[in-house]
Amino acid sequence: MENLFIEPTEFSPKIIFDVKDRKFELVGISRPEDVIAFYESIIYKVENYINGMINEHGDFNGFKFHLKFDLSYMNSASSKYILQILDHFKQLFKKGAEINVDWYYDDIDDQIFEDGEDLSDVIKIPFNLIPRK
Amino acid sequence: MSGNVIVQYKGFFDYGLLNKLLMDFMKYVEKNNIDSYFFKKVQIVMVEMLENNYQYTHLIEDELKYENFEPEFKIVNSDLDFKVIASNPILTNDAYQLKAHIDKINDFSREDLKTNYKDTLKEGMYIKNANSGTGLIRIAKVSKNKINYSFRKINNKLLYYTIEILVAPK
Repeated sequence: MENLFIEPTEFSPKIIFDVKDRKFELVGISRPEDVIAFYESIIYKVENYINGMINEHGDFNGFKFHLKFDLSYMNSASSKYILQILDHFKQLFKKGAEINVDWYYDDIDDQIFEDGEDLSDVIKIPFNLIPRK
Repeated sequence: MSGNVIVQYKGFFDYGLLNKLLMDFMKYVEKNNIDSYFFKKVQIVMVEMLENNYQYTHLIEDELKYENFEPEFKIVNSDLDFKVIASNPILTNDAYQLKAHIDKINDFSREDLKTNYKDTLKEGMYIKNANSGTGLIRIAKVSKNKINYSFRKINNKLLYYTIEILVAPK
């Protein structure tokens, strides 16, 4: 499977999905005009990759995946699709893989910090909440 | 209404217009040295309200062809707070469900609001609509204030819905 790279725009985030290095990054502002169209292809790619991995490997002990979310703004419609991405990776987490989720924020009072806490609670994967330098 | 009107627009909204209004508000924020934390709170409320407004009115645009009630949006500055106000026509049948939804949000404690937000996110994760129904809950959660609303009769099928929320610096 090929890597995925989507350039950021003023209102949509940069996406990097490096399948070889097992890294997924979502960086920038997430409130695209057509949120469904924007996230659909990304979710399709993630889902196919994870289904392929599950078919190929039974046990994921020793497998590490690094997910980075460095968002300065996201609308509520985006949070739904970010949850879907996390939900696909959760399948590997349940099979023993280590899923390292780094969630960046500016300030503890920032809504993005709370968004990270909320998404982590919903998806039941611990996030590393990291202050942005 | 008391206070200074910072941003105002009357007419049908779309994504480009939302961005323009946001830019207008950003210019005001920069000129008046408003801190970024406060700006972000108002931004979230503003974006969620306008997205709800134009997504809904696009859905019912056939019903609005011959009516003269246009959507409206404004931000009013009052002392240190901002009042964010949005109006749009709504089908009477949809208003019942919306009213029940807002009343439920307004009855929640802060803790319950957070729990309900997470439950709604979880339940809505795979529903077909673009939004999972969290927009208004997020507005209440971020502003930490009750949502004021009203419905005014246009005709037997339509009401004019106005939502108003106060956003304070802390």
